[in-house]
Amino acid sequence: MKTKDVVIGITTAILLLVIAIAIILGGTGWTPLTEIRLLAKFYLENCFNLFDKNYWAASPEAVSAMLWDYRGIDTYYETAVFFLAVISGVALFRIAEVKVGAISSMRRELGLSIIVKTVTRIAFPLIITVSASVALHGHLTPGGGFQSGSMMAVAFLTAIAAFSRYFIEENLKLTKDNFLTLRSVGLITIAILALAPILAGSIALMQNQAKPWSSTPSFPEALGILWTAGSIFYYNLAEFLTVGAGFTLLFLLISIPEEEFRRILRL
Amino acid sequence: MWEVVNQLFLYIGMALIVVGALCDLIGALGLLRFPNFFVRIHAATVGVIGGAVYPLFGLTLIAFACDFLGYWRWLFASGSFITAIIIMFTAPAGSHALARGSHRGRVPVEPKVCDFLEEDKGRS
Repeated sequence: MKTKDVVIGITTAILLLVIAIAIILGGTGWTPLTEIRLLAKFYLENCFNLFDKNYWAASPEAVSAMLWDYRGIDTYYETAVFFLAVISGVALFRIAEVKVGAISSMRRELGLSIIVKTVTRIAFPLIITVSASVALHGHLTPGGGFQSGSMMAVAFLTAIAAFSRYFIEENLKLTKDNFLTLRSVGLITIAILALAPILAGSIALMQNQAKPWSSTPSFPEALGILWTAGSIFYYNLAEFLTVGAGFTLLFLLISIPEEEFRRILRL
Repeated sequence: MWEVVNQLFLYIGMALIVVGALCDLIGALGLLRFPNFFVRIHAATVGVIGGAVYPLFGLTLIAFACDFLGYWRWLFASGSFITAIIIMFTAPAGSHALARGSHRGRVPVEPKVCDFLEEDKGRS
């Protein structure tokens, strides 16, 4: 036992040392340039350039501008892939018509102990609030639709772990069909927002601000005093609904007890 | 007057960060050397509460004292304070859930001094 520990320690130390020496000597191959490259310079100069609005995205956050404006179709396909994954999950669990209230008589005993339940009661609205703030500020500060949606799903995951899934279905009155509807609403919003410039006469899908080669009317940069960065705010909001509801739907489906499945399959 | 208070905040904050580093060290040693899961999770909690909450409170005090940050020090201070509070009430719940779950899953309490949970279960 002792010699094994010593051997493991020495091996780890040698491994770390070798990696460190290799990195110092440049053995990992091509290293990125330290100066800013041309493409990065373009984004940095143009994404919130108030003086030259030819190529701007009206978003102070360069990453959101790239995700939903300059490289918008890439994110669109990403969302489509996620949509297909969730849809195939729902299709696999199609048999699961779980009767709500079948186990509700013993609901108090379900879930973890009272300490965890109390902390989850405090933390659940906090996580939801933070995820909403990350989504609504996605065009101003780091963050965005996918991150905030994942955070919302984590809130529901903690609720499922601490209270059991019947808490979400009975106390919050949110069934899997609600989440399916919410996710579809988000996806349809994204599709409408992506197609709106084409209908207005643009040549580019998902165009946010007018470009020199297609000067159709651009999305309004602000709603009154609320800066929305063109369409990026709405995209973030729709992606927040899509991803959050999609992940929560999968968690709800996964957390169906196996006995329920067996019972349904036997019927 | 304010400069004295600022100096005091700075030194208390630095002391808290040093205490946090020591707690992390103690927690790591305990995690390696303790005999079974339940005392190891105690050592891990020492690392979380002592090693994360104390330095964050210290960071709050240091951010108060940093006049050169201007307006932004309130952002740093409030951010680290809220993070500390949230860690303080979520980490114990997490470790409690782990310990309770593994006790119910019959993880052996090998060198057993006392096991009140088992006694309570046996009685009721």
